Amino acid sequence: MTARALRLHLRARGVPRFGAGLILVTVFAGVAAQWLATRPFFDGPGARVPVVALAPLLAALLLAGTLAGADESLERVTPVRWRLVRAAHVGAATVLVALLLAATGLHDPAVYGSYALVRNTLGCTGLVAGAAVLIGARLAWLPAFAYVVTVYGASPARDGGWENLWAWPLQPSTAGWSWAPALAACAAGAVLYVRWGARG
Amino acid sequence: MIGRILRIELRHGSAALAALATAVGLTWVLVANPAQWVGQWGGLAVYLRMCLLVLCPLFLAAGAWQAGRDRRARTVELLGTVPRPAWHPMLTGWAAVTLGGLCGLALPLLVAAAMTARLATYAGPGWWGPLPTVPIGLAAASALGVLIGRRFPGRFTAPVAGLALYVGLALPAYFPDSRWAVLSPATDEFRSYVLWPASFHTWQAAWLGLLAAVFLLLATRRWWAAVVPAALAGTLLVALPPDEPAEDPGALALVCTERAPRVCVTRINEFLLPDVDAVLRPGLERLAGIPGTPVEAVEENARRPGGHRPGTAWFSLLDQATLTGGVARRDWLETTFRSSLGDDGCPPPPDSTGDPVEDASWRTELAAFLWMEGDPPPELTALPGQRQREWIGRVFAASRACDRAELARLALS
Amino acid sequence: MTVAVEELTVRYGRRVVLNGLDLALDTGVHGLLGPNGAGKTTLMRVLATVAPPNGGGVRLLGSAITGEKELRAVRRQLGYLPQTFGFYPRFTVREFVEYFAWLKEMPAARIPVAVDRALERVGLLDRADDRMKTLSGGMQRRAGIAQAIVNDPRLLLLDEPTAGLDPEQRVAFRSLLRELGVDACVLVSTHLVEDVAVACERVSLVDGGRLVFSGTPAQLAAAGGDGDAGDSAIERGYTAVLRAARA
Repeated sequence: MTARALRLHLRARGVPRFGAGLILVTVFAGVAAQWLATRPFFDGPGARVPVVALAPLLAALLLAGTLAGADESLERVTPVRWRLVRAAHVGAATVLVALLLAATGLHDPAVYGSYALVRNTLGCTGLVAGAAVLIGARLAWLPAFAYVVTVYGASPARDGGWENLWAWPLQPSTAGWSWAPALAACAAGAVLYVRWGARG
Repeated sequence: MIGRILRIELRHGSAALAALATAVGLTWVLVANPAQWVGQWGGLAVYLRMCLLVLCPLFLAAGAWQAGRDRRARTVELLGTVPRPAWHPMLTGWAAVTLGGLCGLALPLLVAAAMTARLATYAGPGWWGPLPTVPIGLAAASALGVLIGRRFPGRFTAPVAGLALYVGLALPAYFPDSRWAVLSPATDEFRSYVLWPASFHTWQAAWLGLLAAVFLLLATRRWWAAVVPAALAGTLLVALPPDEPAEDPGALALVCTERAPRVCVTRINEFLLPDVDAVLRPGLERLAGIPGTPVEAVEENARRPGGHRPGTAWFSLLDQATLTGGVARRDWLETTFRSSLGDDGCPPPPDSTGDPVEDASWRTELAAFLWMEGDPPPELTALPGQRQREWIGRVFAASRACDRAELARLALS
Repeated sequence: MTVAVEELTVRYGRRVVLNGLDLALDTGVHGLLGPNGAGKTTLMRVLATVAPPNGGGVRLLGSAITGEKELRAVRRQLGYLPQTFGFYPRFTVREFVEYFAWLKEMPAARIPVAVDRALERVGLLDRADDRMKTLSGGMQRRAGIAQAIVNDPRLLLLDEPTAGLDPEQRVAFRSLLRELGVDACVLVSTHLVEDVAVACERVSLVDGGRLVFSGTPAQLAAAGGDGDAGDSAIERGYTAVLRAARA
């Protein structure tokens, strides 16, 4: 793929817009995390739960728009090795989002900081990628959005046990089991997406 | 005809999706926090208001999705040639998603009401006060969604705007003393045993209703018409509602077991009494007859500041009710009870390390707690039975009197 | 005159799309021909009251559109099928047409009958309760025609209506056009010259934003000679008129 073809492909997928949105989300996450962590009436870095839950979700929502072209069936009849392209696309995007967001939580990264942001990025992008395959890129944002928003709204009162599993976006990164569903979602979403691509 | 169009929208427009989303959302939130509402009518009403934190963004997203439909379906051009004013279909679409969303809430709500009715032991006057604001707040949210969706008809408007509202509604929690929290429909300041005056609920309903009107008028580009409700809403801002909640004495009245030692809960939690009694009775009976120890256990909600009652131990039912109306964590219930035996709101001791090895008073308290748990240390069991009981009584009395010096004197080793 | 256009000018930015176009149409089926980019769709959009003209006069159904009241009066008697036709995929065909009948402010009592009649005329009555998204492309196009004719418009504007229709459907559609042309002014924009030859009483040819020919299909056919490109007389006429206009 030449540089020009790559540029055209990225434009066709709306990547420039995604990049701009991602920068906004990163800045917003950084500012909000800093503000929350320095409020005297909160428990320091532990107050960053909303950022940890919502910033990766927002980034994943923006990513959803880049997962399909204007006409999937038109693209697929071309001889490009789409699985490779899709793998690179979803892999690079996940790494980029994870790195950028992790940078906003470097202060005390273990207490609702970088680690949890990385875990939630993996989980949310996995959910979005999987949903793009199952219900199409247009609505791919919906399951992740509904899930995280509802988990956050339900704000599980205790951690430990089942909450670690189903409420993974809200668990501290030290809750080992919370990584399992996030990693599972990431792996399943990526595999589905790379194998089949977004539903047309 | 408008009824027929509304039916079409409800069946095959975004309304069906909105109904599904709100049904799933509410079910989930209800199941995740049953302790907030199970068995309490007031609790159900109050918790529904807290649920607006989730439901309002869902309604907003539904409104925005509906408003962006014409662009997604590429019917904008065709709609530009019809005689019916654009606000007719817009308003119908808004009504459809709002109604659809509300219908989605109905089923989980009915189930929750049936579960509450099965267990509820108290329905005070005006427990339903927070309820009428719910549909008005949700209608305002979907109207805002329509406004945003018409301005920005993109595919990601709905989720991004929904998230933004979510963050916005959560903000008051970060400013706990702000008077402006009353502007939000999703308040967490309500309690199931606290009644807010009707004027307060009326104020909130009027404020949100006017907001909905402003959003809809702005969505139809009737700038001048929007001025009237906006001005009215502005006047409401000048006169914030009376902030005078009053505890409902009926809700907090105590209901106790008949046989001694007594276990008492507030009336709203009466359905938990058999379970609570079963958990706490062994401990109370262990203490029975020991001078200076509590003779009853009472739920903490009934505790009043300054009212020192030496014969009473307290326990907390916070987050305790399960969906079936039982106590969720017996160990936690027992812990709150036991810790109240040794602490009656004492200030933390100034120069203590909290280490039983170094601090004799801690050692004393620890031994007493181990005795309560049925696992007394050897130095205590070395004493004759009667002496053990006397010693326990003196330890708890000193503990509750915040007398650390006496506790240190009582140390067994 | 149902449509009277004088000196119509439409610009998109600096590009002039219609340049002093004159057109007069009355009851009957009119074909609108022209090469790509000639301004056919723009003319249709002006007549459909979607695009405002930058200059010149447009009178529709006998009235100049000066205000909201006249605009709505005209729109009640207007039917329009845009070139890119969108629909709500989850609506059934009946619901879709019904919805547009409502948007066209038809009296509620008349709507059920009118919807059935429109669906029957386009041959979709047996699919009336299927969802739009389950229809084939040609059927979706016919549902679009049904919404355009549901209010028995006096002015019917169809932009590429036969795109996606199979030959059998096109034959049926031509006879529907002739039927509609008895009471209404029907303007059909198309690239399919044979449709015009068979179904239209008059034909207008637009090129470069101007009207370069107006007459009957036979007159258009007569304009061509043996030396002109085309497989039929009317195609040769079409080529000849364009060549003459560009000379």
